[in-house]
Amino acid sequence: MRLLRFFVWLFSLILVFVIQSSFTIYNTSLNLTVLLAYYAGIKGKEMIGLFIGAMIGFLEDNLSGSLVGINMLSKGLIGYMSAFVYNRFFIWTPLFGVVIVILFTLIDGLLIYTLNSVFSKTPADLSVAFVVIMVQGMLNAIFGYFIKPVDMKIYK
Amino acid sequence: MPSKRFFLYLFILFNIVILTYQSSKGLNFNLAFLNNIFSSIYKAKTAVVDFIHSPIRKIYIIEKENERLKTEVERLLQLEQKYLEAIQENKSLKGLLSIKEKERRYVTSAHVIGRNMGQWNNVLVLDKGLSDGVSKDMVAINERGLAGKITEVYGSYSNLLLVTDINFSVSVRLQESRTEGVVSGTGFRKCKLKYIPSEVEVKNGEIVVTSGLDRLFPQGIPVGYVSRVNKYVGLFQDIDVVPFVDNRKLEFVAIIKQ
Repeated sequence: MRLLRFFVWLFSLILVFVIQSSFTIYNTSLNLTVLLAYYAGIKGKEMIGLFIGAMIGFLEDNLSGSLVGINMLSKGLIGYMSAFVYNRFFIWTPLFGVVIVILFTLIDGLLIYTLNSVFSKTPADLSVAFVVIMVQGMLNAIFGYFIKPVDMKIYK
Repeated sequence: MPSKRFFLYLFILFNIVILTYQSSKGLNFNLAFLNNIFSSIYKAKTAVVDFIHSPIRKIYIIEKENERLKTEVERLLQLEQKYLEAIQENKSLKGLLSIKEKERRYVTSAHVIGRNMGQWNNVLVLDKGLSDGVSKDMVAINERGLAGKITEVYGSYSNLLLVTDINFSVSVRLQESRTEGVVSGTGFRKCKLKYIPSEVEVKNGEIVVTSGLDRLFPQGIPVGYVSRVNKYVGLFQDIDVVPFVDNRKLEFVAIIKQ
């Protein structure tokens, strides 16, 4: 069962990478990996969220050719935070799902921008980067409606 | 057992350390084999996408090419028409030029600019008039033969009465039998050759030329050929003559003096 789960994750990850590298909307590439990290977080405990998020980030760092650690840190934190928020006070509703996905996408994008600026080079103007991150957040918002926790601590 | 927060801080610290290290040493810890694996996956995905897209793209390209070729064909057809027009015009003008060289009575050449081709009024409008030396009763010919005569002249244009007009008559001679007669227009494509006695042998296809006896048309201009002969109608034969000059195709004429 664990092996199956591993392959499902692997397949999802590959699919996400392929989609992410294939499509751009108005010159804005998608940020779907943050959704995986978010899902890993709300599905399990903080440490699992942190670990899976970090692994996703590690792979993304490798594949994007950036310094290893940037995506690893941001995705790891997203995984941790989503689990933390969900386990403490987050009761899932479609609206909260949407809002939290937007929020996490913004946090992820800003973290990556900041880490790149500090450790590598500034990828773009802050205003441009902000617009791009906002667009990514808006695009991910749609998925926020559909990504639900498994144990259904859902408000009805 | 260390708390979750401890692991979190450790994780953050670890990342900052490796980032700082990579940043300062100019290295990164990218694993090449991951890129290789992903590039294989990406190639497979591209192959699948191409497999699906390729026929659609081909149809699209063929459609575009088809549209382009249609436009090209239209353009070439227009060009061909222009060339054919130029060739025809050149042919007509060459004919006129030869008339100009041969004919001492040459006045000018004129272009047909209007047609008034009702059933009973076979008149063409020419672009030459008084200012070009054209006057009433002058003769219009082309390289084939007699076209008609000028009936009205204005400042810069004139009217040409065609051979086929019902009001048109010209004194003629049959080229072989040398018999004289008169060709009159009928309002149709064919003209009538009048006053040819019944005993004269007239063959189909015999050429009719102007005789000059009417003092209106110079002698020897081809008018047409005999297309039908009916001997047994009385004192004179009933003969149809088809003019050499086809009114429908007439574009240029040379105007000559009487």
